[in-house]
Amino acid sequence: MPGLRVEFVQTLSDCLVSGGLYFVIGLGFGMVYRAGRFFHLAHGVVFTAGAYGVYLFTRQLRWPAWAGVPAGLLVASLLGPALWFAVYRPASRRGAGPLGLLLCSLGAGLVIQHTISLAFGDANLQVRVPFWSQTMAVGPALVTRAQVAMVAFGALSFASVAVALRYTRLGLDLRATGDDAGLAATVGINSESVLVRTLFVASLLASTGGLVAALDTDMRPTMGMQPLLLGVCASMLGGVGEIRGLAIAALALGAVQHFGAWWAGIEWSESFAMLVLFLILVIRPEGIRARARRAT
Amino acid sequence: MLEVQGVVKHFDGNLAVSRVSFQIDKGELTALIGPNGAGKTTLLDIISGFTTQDEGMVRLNGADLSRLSAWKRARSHTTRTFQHLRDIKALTCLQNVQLRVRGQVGNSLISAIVRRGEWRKQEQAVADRAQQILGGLRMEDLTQRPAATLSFGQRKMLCLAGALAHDGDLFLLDEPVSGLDPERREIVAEVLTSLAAKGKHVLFVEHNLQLVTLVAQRVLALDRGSVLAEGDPKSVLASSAVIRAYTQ
Amino acid sequence: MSYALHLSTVIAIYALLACSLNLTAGFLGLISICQAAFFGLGAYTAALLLRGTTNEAVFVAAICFLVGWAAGVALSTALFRLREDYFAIASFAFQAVATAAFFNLYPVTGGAPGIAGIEPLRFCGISLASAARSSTSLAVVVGALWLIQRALLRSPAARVLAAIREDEVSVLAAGLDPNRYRVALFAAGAGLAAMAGAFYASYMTFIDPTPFGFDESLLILCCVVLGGSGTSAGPIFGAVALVCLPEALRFAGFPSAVAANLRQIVFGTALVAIIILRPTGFQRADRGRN
Repeated sequence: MPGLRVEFVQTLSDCLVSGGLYFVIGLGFGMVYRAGRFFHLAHGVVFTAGAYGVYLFTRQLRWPAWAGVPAGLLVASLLGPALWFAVYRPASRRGAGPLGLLLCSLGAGLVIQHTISLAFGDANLQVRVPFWSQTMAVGPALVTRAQVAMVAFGALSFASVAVALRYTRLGLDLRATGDDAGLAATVGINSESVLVRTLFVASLLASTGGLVAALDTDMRPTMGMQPLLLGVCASMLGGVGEIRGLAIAALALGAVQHFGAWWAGIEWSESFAMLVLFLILVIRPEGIRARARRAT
Repeated sequence: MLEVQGVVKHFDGNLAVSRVSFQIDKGELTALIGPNGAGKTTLLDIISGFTTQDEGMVRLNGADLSRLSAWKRARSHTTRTFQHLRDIKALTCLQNVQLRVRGQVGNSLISAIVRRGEWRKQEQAVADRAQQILGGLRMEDLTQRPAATLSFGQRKMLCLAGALAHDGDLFLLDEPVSGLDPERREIVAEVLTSLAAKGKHVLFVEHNLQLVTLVAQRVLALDRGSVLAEGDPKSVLASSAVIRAYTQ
Repeated sequence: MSYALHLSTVIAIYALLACSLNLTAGFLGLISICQAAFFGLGAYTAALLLRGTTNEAVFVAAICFLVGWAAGVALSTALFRLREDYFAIASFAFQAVATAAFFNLYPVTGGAPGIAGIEPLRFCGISLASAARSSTSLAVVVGALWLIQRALLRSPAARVLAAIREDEVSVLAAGLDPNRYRVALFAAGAGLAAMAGAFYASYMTFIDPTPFGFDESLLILCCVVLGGSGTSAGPIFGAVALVCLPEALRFAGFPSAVAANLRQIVFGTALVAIIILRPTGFQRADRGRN
């Protein structure tokens, strides 16, 4: 049945695209957790800021793409470290624990998201760049170049972060800090510096993801919520901080989402993923490849 | 009578407690000694229910404790202090001691709201008893002090006060004098002796062998999870196996 | 005058919601971000009941309370083992599932368009449709809740709650089960939030999924934290601020959309400020040990 086959392949390609997005978000989120031991839920608005940042420079200030895109992404990437200095570090110095920092991230995310709303309006913005919106045929399925870019970006992030963790100074320091911050400090690793740089890299990943997503679908100030939710979900499922687990989990979530939508209807797609997150937290919070210990 | 039979416990593949068996009679003040890592705290955890043993059995006065969770054991039988001091900083000394008195009507949420007359009456008695206990430990001037402002020694005595308020049949005390000055050590020694005199089962872990020789009627020496020696303090401390274990 | 009454009703509803969350977030430091989900659960239950089954206020409120209670028991029992920040994420997930259900279970909830034409509650034959009567009845409920919370905070149970917040092991060693307290308070909070939903449905006579989402849950949490978590009157002040702020901004000339965004910004900033300036209750477990 040709119709079914087309739908199946289409759904499969949607899985890859969504999986790529959740992987990218979950990657940054997981890395920050590994470096700082807290849930940086403002990561979702960094995603949004990437899209709006580039929009600001290229559409409103009318900079050429080669200047506007990096400028926009840079501004959004600096949000991560900025949040550390403005919010997380002061809170941490005053004794805030993981829960306090989680709440701070929620508050900060609220502020940033609604500032974007004030500056750019609440409504959907349609950003159509012909090159990226162009559809191509991959087998019987139709994908846009932007969607392909998302999958490619996901794969690229996986490869580069995996390499960086093994061969770069920051990567090794991050792994040391993640394993035992106290011990890492005794060998001279400055965990705060590691965290700040990790926040920058994570924000760079998220903001690029936001740009690619905006090229594919519409932009609105709340666009980061769902990817954050699902990125966190993939993180929990794969074990926060684990890269290979995250990749598997992100693809699995994409599959749950799109095949669930195919079966039950598009409105239910997010709910299936949320149900999975919920069940994981009930049954096995460490995820499929356990790493982070859960306190009793 | 506290009966521990054939208790075995593994942690991550390491044998922490290996076939430990012993008995303690009521009133028999027993010390548990041994080098660090011998499994003493693990043994206390197993008896009080904070860790589940892999094999073996714990019985108190004939009742099998294994089927009870830690809080249930604490409710009916065991009183426990810990190496890591567990006072509540948000409460005053008096409140810390009142907290540990068992059987308070006002502890339950529903009763706190609907049985106010009952708990109000009880509260006076509880406060008096807590006051008395703190007085017995020479802490009467600290009753209204928030626990957050206490020194280490004061906090340690506060935890002991809490244990006295809790007043179970079985007292499990983890290093009750470590870090205390001589004056306070004396007070603790008196407390231990009077507990035994009252007919309680008392098992305490200690590194301070002076105290052990002074007050303990029986000593159990543990090393690497097994009982090396047991008996009266003099003979156990003179035993070559024990000396070897400590000096290694 | 009628505007002031309308405002009082809305304030009373949010005061009830904030007090309901205070039972766990305030008394136990158990932060959850799903109070609006329970609010919605109660609202939709009430909408169904009021659509022909019964109008009797006490009965509807009781049923909604029980529905919320059951959901609260189920949720907290499933999740009480989690560390506090994981628990917050789990509540976040539950909220997302609830929102999806509200939007998608069309036959029950009416989907995005919602349910209109809801009959108001009646108490002893008197309709509670008007703002005056709704706000009065809500004020009675909130007042009773305030008294109950005060009584709790002055009872021996308050010591137990303080201990549960700080060191669970000492509670176990005292012969008490901290989980019973957690489940009981969480379920009571969920039930009260559901009850607030019943009043909301009756007063508004129309509900849709918008007020029952993550944003609302976060704002209710802000009410508790900003007003003073763990105190009996604090959350009420937080609710007053939550409702009055956008109104004040609108009076000052800001258009509606701007006022709404500004409120979120103010609350977000205030939340961060509170955590930085007065982090009691959100501190690391080992903080302050000498």
